[in-house]
Amino acid sequence: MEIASACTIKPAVNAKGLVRTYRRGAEQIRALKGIDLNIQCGEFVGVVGHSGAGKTTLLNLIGLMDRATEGSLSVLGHDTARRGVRFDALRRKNIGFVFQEFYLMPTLTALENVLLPTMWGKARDMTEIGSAISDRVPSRQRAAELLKLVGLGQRMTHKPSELSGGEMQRVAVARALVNSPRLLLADEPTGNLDTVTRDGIFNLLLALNRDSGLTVIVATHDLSLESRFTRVVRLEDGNVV
Amino acid sequence: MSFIKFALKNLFAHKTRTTLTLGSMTVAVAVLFTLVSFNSGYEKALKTQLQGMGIHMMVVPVGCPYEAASLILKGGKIPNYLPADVLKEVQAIPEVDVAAPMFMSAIVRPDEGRTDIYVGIDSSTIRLKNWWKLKGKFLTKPNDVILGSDVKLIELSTIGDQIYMPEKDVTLDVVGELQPTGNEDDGFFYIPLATAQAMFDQPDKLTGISIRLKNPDDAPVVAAKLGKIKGAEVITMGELLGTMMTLMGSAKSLLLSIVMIIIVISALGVLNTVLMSVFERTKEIGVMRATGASQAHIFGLVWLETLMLSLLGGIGGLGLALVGARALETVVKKFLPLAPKGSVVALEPGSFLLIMAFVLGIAVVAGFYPALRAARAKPIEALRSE
Repeated sequence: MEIASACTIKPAVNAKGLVRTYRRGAEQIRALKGIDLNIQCGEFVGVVGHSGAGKTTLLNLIGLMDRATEGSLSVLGHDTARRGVRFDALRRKNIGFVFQEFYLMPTLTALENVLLPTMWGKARDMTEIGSAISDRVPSRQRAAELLKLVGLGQRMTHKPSELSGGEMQRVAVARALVNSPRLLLADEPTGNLDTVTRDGIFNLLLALNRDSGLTVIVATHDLSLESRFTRVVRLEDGNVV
Repeated sequence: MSFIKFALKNLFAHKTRTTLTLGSMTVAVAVLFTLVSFNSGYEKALKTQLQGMGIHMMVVPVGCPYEAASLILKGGKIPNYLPADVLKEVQAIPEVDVAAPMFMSAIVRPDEGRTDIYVGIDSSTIRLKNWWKLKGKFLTKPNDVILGSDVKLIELSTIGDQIYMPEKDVTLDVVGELQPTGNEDDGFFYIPLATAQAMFDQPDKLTGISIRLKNPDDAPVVAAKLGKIKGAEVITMGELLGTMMTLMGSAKSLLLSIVMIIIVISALGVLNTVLMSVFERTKEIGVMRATGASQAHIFGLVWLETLMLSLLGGIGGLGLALVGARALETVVKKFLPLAPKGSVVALEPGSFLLIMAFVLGIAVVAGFYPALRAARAKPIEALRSE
């Protein structure tokens, strides 16, 4: 099974002078203060830093969940500042997300959670939603295989409330991989896990990068993991240090 | 997994809330469907009954015929009667085939919970109502009586029996029984015209003359001729039906307005349920956006949930109406001033489709705001929400 789509674009992520400011009441917060960053295809990059350093903000920009206030950002060859760039479609086809809090749908089984991104299919507007209505067998098979890959072959019909933290995060990883992404972003994926489970999840991400060449970017404040990344981007107060 | 399955799972994540909303929608649709079906069924039954009478027009005394009918049913005397000579004038019109005089009055027996209606007729009635199937013989002697089929069952009398009327100190001999006609004729005692007039102290008076024309197309011409008779008023069957429908119409409009309000309230309930669900699922909507859902997908999903909720309510309403309408009919018929024989509820697929279209139309409007609200949520803000 092909885990990820081939990433031939170089660099996979290219940021220049990336700034993101927020308003919190009257206060203006500069979460990122001019980041320059270059990540190549197939890298296993750790974005490390303390809480509030700007890790999540950076991942949200790379994951096309947010737009930069200033600077330029190119993700998989797409200039995100260009008008007409469809973030939803780009994200759906190219990027998998793993969150610290798993964010699984409580009413769905593990298998259905993995299938969630396939529901949006290739639909770009309301008129194409019909194409996503029927269950597509290939997606189901792939989701089942991914769950087996992350070690949850026997837990497919279980709902999140019946799974442990580590199992839920494995489901989230499988979900992030179901559309064969080129880029996997994980925001504190081990933050809510005990040490043993943490290592299991981290090894899984590492194996995905090593075995399928998937570009993985992990944001973490866990400094003990630093040595295991192929490259570390250290953030401090919105700057790369 | 399909969109529909996902939407259903979302809806039933909060079983109690969704079930209550569904319940209110179900009841509203059931009430609306029953009312529409009742209205359409009543109209049809009334038309069938009036057409089945084979009477093209009636000559009645001047005054409100409905008030007169009400007075007769209460056993009272109506203010105006037709003089018996009117019959000769009517019979003289060449277009008239049969003109059957009638004197109607009632005796109320509150202790027994019944009102006996006596109709004085002559042999012309047999010619007018040629569909009557009479067992026994027609009225020949002053004290003869023919029993309508319902009356026979109530009186438990048969041909050869005698019926004593203590109020009038009269004994009637049962000479005939009417086979069931399916209309109000089944509920009358038929006695000779002169006997009825004498019994209720109205000699040479009539309560009406039923007319059958040689050609029904002559109704306007004959109505114009009859209109010239002093103290008489002409009612064609078309007019009678129209007036009844007008009377029904105002009550119907009021009822339908109330039900429409109920439907709108139910739609607001649907809006509230879906909106609450959107608020509670902000984070989940963020996850959907993060996994590639577009604004259109989120809008479509929430809208689909609203439509499904309304559709399920509608189908539930249909089921409830199918089960409850017949039971309701039995109750309602007792309170109808003029209850035709047979079913007065016509459960028609066309009515249901129309109501469903109306309910779904409201759902489309009700679902718009929650769907828009959900679709507008920015992914990272939705994920950060508590």
